[in-house]
Amino acid sequence: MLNTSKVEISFNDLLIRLGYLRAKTKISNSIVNSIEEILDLAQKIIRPKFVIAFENVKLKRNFVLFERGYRISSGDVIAFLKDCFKVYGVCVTIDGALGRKTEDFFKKNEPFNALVLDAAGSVAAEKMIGLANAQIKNHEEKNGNVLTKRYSPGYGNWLLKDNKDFLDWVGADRIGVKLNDFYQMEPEKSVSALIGVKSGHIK
Amino acid sequence: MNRETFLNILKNRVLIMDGAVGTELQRKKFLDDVVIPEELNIKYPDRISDIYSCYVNAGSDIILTNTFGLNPMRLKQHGIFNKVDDMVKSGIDLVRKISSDVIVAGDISSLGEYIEPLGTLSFDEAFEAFAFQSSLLQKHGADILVIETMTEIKEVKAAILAARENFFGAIVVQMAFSKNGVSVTGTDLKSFIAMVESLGVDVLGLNCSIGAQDLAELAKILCENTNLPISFKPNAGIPMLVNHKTIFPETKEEFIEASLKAYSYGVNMFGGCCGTTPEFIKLLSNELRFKHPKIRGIKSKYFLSTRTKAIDINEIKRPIIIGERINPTNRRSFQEELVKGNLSLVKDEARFQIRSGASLLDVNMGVPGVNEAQLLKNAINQIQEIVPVPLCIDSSSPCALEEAVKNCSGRPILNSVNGEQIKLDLILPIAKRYGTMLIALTVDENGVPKTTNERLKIAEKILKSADSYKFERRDIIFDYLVLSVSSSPEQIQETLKAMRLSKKMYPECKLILGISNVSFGLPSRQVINSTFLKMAVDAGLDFAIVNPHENWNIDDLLAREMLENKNESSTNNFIKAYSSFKKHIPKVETEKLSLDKQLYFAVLNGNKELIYVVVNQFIKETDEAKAFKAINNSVLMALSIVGEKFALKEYFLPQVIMSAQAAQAAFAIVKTFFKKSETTYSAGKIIMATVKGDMHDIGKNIVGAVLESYGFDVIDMGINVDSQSIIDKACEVNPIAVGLSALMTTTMPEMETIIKLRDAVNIPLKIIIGGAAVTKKYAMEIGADAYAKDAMEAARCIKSFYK
Repeated sequence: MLNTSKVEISFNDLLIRLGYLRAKTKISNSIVNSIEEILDLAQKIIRPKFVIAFENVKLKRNFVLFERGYRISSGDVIAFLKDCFKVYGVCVTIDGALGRKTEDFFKKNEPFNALVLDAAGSVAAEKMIGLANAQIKNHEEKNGNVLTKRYSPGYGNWLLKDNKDFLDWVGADRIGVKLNDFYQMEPEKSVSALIGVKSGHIK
Repeated sequence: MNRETFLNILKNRVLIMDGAVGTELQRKKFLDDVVIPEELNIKYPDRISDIYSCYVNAGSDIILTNTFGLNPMRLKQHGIFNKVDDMVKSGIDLVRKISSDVIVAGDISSLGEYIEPLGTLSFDEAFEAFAFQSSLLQKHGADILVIETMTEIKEVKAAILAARENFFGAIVVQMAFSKNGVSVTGTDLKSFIAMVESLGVDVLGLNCSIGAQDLAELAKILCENTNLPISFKPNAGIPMLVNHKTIFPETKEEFIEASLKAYSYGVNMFGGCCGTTPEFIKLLSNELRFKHPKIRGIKSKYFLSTRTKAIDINEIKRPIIIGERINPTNRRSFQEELVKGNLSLVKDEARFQIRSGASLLDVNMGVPGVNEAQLLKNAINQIQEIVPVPLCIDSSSPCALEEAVKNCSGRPILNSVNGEQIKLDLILPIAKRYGTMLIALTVDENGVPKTTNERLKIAEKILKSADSYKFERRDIIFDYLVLSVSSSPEQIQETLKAMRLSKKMYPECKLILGISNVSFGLPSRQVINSTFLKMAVDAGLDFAIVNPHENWNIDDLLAREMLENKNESSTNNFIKAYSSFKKHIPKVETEKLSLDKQLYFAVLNGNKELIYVVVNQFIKETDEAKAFKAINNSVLMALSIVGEKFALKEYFLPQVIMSAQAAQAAFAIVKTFFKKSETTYSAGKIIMATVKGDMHDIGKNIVGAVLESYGFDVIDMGINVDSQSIIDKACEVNPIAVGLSALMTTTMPEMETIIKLRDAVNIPLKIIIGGAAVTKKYAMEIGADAYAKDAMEAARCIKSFYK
């Protein structure tokens, strides 16, 4: 169902990520060349990986109950999943090589390269979660269902530390994504998200 | 089993390899209680024997040992390096115990780290790791070596070289490709063929990544482009990790159908990768084992390559243009840039020459007073990542040639060797080891020969030497050297005659010339160069080293008469006709900007390269105090405009950082200079830190870079910094300010803690905060002295503290 094995980072998306405004920002050929060089490097070293889980859920007063027992105790998640009967959990990552290279650029006092590479990694990770989302949407729409937006641990009162149980439920360790002591994902350019599914006739 | 025996079997019949090991271990839940799958070899050998047996019983001729990731880097990471010998030995012995007939393939895969420039690993480190693993597989008796699931071509190169030098059996190399026939790091199928064929592997192939149906189509392309045996080991489709299960979408029937298709294309070895099981292999064996491989009659291909593209030189129209412009000879400013290690001009030249039609690029970094080997390596590393054409590595230093070719991510040409025995003995082994083409100049200790025969004699000597090093004659490109027509008119015909005879005597060898020598000392040189090039092509020239920006369509009668040395007056006739022609030189802006203006614009435009020249000129021309003041003013004025442009969105962050890098470079020179004269300069100290619990450092680093560009000494305490230690450091160094960064709402409260600690010790310390989740309102609430939404605002705030 999901295929995010190839992720193209668009030059324009990267420029926008870096703060470029078409109507105002003036860039020279040398900047364009330099950004393209790093974009090319990013494209070579990202390794897209994803993992997905889905399950039927019931919304209780104080928690969301998953079919196989996992619970999310967050009022904001309960509200977010209003009318949903099923949820998807997705985790995507571009792996760690890009982060290591960014660090290496900083060590060599090349902050321009580091900045652009880091931004390219962010664009790639966002693109991946977007691709995953689109494919789930496509699949569910065939069954007459609609999706909510994406929601992640750390949003609203869904605590960041709850990402641990969420990633366990999704199976993120299979793609090498883990949490550090402060509940931040490693590799850094990883995204985890919850997507709710409800029947198409519910608006 | 030795290499020849294996290759003989392969000539006569299809061989069946095993299927997946990793996914079978997962499926059977055999991975409990081990650090890595290879530890099973010694901790739970029965589990591995079980997998091996299933594949032997299913009909595998070849079993890959469970040694996939036993490289020293990975083992040290897991703390089990001391067990490696036992793990390799057991991995091999367990197969032997199950069957004495089966071919034991020592399995090797990627190191998990990229080699520079994609990563930080050096080529030598990668080579050593593979050499270690290959020698253990040799020591414990593997029959053949399979290097598999490779995704990066330079790593493939390191692995093959290490295997070839530490393992005596046949070597199989398999790379993983996406559906479009390109690896994740950008290498296409032909570039893969070019590299591995040139390094002398015995079998090349495809494994993992995509399913059999798609991989069969890629196998077809391999079959159409190489006569080497081909292996085929696909996944059972692209895996998906769903609800804690790895799902492989392809059925065994689809897998077999695709494998039969691959057989019809000419594939020789078959197996399965992730998601395949003994059932897949049993069906495969029933269909294909003992079949004769299809004969592939591939028309002669001859590849040169770079990471992302290969060219078949048999298919390119003559002459094949090699751009000569990446060469510092007689180019002073180019030399100065190289001395500073600045390769931006080199990269520009690379791009421009491709646009002008160069099929290859000559790269020469011979500048007096620099470490040529290091510079050439850096140039190769940078050029090959930005342009998709093969390189011609040009140096008279064998050491520089080796360092460069080692780091080449494609198959290059080496430029050059000549007829001196000492050179032949140094360079031929390098060309042989790395599988390059080699330009051979027909000169020797006695200089450039006068006659055709003498040139051909040197060619013969070179070929004999090449034979003795088992260097293939078809990899030699002879340069019969052209001299200036003005000084040696009779020599032009000698060169052309030698080329014609060479083509007859050594048809497998190619021909090359550096063209521009021919016109030395004469007017309208391009008229002569272009005319001569046409004559040389008629004489069999394959490659021409030229300036591709020039016009190569000229064929001039007077030039031809002169080059053919038709009569004594032909040179005079040419000179008479062309001496009044002046080469059009575009008018350049001659207005000279003052040094401070030059510096201002260099910072404004982020031109770090210009900084070195201008600042050093400043220091040279004026006294210390004046120099500092002028530099400081120009840099700060430029940065102020950069700030304004950023605020107006005319500049975006990359431009700010480019300017910051340029300004930093200026202050770095000033500081070095003043250090020598025992004066110290700093705009003051700033402590930067990402607060405790937060591991993000990109924002902090960017702010740090901008602050340094203003001349501040930035003390970077790193990420996840304990609050008390920030205050302790501030008490110790008395900075102008402390800059705190936090990306997340969960770590922001640490900022308040630090402010409270400051207040507790009652020091006059300014604290400025920023980060994705931080707001001005929050800064005011917790009592911070300032909030900065970006790097430029941080600089503005801190400058206001400074005042």
